[in-house]
Amino acid sequence: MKKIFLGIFLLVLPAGQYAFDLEVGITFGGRTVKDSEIKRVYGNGTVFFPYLALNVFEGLFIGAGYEGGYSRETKIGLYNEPTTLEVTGIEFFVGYEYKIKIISPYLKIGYGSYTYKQTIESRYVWAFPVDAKKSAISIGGGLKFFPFKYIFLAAEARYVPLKVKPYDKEVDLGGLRYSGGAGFRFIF
Amino acid sequence: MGFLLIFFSIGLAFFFSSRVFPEEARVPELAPLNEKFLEYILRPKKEIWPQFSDDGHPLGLLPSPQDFSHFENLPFMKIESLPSSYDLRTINKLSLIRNQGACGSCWAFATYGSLESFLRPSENWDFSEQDLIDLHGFDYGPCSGGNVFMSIAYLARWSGPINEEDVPYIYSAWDSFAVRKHIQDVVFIPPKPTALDNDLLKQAVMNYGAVYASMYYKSAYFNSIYNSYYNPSEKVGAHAVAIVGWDDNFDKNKFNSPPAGNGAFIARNSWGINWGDKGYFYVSYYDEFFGRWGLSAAVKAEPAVGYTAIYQYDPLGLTSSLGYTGSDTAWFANIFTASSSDPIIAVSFYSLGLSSHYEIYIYTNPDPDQPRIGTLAGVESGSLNSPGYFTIPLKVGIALKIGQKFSVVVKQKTLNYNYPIPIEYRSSGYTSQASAQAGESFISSDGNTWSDLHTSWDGRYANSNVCLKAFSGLPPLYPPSNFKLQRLENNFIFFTEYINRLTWEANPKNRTKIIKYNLYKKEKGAPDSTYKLVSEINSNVFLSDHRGLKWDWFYTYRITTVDELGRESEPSEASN
Repeated sequence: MKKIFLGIFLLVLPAGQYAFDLEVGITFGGRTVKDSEIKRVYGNGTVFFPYLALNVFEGLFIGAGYEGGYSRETKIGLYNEPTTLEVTGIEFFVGYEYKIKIISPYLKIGYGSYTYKQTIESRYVWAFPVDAKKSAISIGGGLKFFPFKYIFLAAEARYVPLKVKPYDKEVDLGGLRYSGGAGFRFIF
Repeated sequence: MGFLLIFFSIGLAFFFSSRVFPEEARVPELAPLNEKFLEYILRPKKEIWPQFSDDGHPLGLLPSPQDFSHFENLPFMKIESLPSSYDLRTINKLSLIRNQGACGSCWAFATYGSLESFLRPSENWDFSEQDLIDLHGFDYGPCSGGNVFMSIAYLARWSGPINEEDVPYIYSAWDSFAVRKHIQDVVFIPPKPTALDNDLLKQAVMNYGAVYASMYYKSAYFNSIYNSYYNPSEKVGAHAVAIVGWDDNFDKNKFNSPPAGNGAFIARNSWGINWGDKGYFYVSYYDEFFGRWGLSAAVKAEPAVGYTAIYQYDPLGLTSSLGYTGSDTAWFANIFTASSSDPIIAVSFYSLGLSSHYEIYIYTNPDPDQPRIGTLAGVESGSLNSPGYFTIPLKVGIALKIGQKFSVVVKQKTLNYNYPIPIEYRSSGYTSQASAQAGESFISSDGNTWSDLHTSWDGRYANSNVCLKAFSGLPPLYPPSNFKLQRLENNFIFFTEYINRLTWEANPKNRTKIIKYNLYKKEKGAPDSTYKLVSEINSNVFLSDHRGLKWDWFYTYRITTVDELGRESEPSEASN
């Protein structure tokens, strides 16, 4: 999958030699958790997603971003032991936006590497470390609104299916991200 | 002067009448001998007492001399709230089925079947039948047969039980091995008066575990399809097994010839796991002899930690009893010499009444011929609700010096049974090794006039002693009771932590202050030498979780009680 994205990047790069926009933005919002047990114990959370994107050709853009913010503290198990679950990820994406005056709806597909880490404050679970990475695709779309020429506001929804299985049980850390944000577009 | 002479004469007469010339002692009567015993001793009939059943299985039950006919035709005992079926196999209360081989040792296997069951599930023991049949001390050879009273004699004098691994079965190298338990109580269950009068047996199974029982075995009555047995009338092939449960609804049509109604006991045999239902079989309630042929017995055990010494003159135990005509009350006593300074803390004796009442008196420095003339050091009294062999703890220990004489005196009233004095009696062909000395055992009809068994009545009981033991040391220290293991799953979503939750209860029988519990563990199946102390737990805590386990990590645990004297009990065991 990584090779596919690298190929797309290399393909579109020459086209962008003629004219390209560089976009820097960040979104904040909530995320749901698909796994019912994760939802019950840790709950839904918030995420932020700073990113850098390059409009390479007639609305086609590529980019990369970092997803953070999902870090939930609670208590777990028979003994109500303190626990934290963190999920972060680095994601590469490619998409297409269609500009209609000051509004630009867009769709994008991404591929990222997600890190998930469960910490339990218990000396008894040393044999069960949960700190691993897993790759997953993502799909999303949204709307950018340009009140000024270079500055935009954005609303986005993105879904990441992320099934992990550090031990015998498979857990779906995926979920829907719904966020709003702002950014700056440099036009070269 | 005359007045003084008269006064002196009266005083002298009073002194001699009360002290020097006691009232003449009444002559005791020996209890009748068991007819079956006489039949066996006087004219053994191979067809009644064969060593093997007609289909080649070993037997081995022989009658005891003690007559128990007074237990026959008792009123029907109905106990409410007994379940319609019960099976010790389902609650981990039974040790593995054994095979007695070509040896008449069923009685030894049935005895240990009961004892090992009593101790389970918290303690898993395998005691040596070989040591019991080798060293019982009676006139029979190891494989010539025996009965539960021979087992009780061996156990009650602390010759056993020893571990099977010390003297494995079919092995005769005798040595001195550690006694693992002290058998201080054996409860007798009287013969069933009717086919459906099973409640006492059932209650004993529920209270104590497997119960020693007698039967007659003939292959024609065994149904190998249903593993059922019903002997309607034939007195042949005496055998001992252990009752481990019952089923009131066991179909009468599953027997070779249908008895009058449904219902069967579940019995444990000693013919290996390939016989019957993996060693077990069903015996009809209507069997003419099962549970009706002599006494049944539940053997109980106490930890070997505790009593340090046993004072006794009856290594062969109960073989007969004495009484006085027309009275169900009598006195018996032993005079012992202290072999250590440990205090006397318990007394044991047999009781052959359906219920009985006792009074125990301990005297120090008794008169050599008068066990009640001395310094009264302790008194105890109480009632017994069943026949059996019982140990009565004293509320206050009796301090002694080494070499000091002391007497143990018992007054026993055995309801409707006129032979309340249990004795070890020499019977030719059975207990020819029984012996006694003057100054050991005494009996009395009233507690005032005493007769030395050895010297009285022209030596009729010269080789007899009363079955009365005393125990010194400290109260036994028991392991925690109800030690259980529960497997818990702790769900951490990404993984499951498995937990072995261990729970137990303070043993109510402990009489010293408990300061902690020691918990040991080893990997399941590993040798016992790998047990490691994992925690010392405060005496008011009764739960310990062994955490951080994966699903395939299994352990066996042991827990012991530690008391204020620094003693550590034997362990209770629990395993995945």
